[in-house]
Amino acid sequence: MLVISRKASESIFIGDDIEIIVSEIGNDKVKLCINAPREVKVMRKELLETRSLNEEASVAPTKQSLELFKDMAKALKKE
Amino acid sequence: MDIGNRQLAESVQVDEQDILHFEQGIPGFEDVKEYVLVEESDVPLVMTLQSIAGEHPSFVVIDPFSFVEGYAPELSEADLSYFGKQTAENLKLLVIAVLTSKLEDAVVNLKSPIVIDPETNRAKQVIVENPGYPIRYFLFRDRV
Repeated sequence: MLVISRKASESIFIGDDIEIIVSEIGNDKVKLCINAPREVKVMRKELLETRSLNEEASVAPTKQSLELFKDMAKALKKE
Repeated sequence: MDIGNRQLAESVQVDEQDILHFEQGIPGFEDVKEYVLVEESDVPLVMTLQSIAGEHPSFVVIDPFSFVEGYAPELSEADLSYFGKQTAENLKLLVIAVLTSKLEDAVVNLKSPIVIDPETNRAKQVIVENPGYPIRYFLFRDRV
């Protein structure tokens, strides 16, 4: 993996037309600005992973696994 | 009405006032904006979030606070303002579960709960601020 150090307001290019600018550095957060062609999808990783989990979750489970799940949930529920 | 809709109408009574409005849809299903929450009568903490337009998509959702010790999601300011709120106090939270044939592999998404405002029925799947919450949290592992 390539590792590059950058200061606030510095940037890097990926290819010829994707620019990532470090806009602000906070205590536990950095703010990035991204210049990219419209067709390049930019997404937070959590959103990408949530989307893929949603796709898996969107199909109704079999009756059997739902029943098992409900039994387990009933047993697990905090009183 | 399509076939899916008719099937749903037969199995579940959908009242206009029960429809949840996801203005942005749900990631992966951005075009589906209206859902209802169907309770499983025998286990009220396990519910199905069902599209009113057909059988698919449908999600098994649970009340995370009853199952996950110490779950305390923090909503971003942008998400709170989507609901027109200062705090998350009166909002209802649910998490999406993925059930597989092996019970111990069941996961829930603690990073991206479904948030519902029961007063307005506005809803959104948000990404919480807490850095450590997993997208795939094994609900039963080590307990089965």
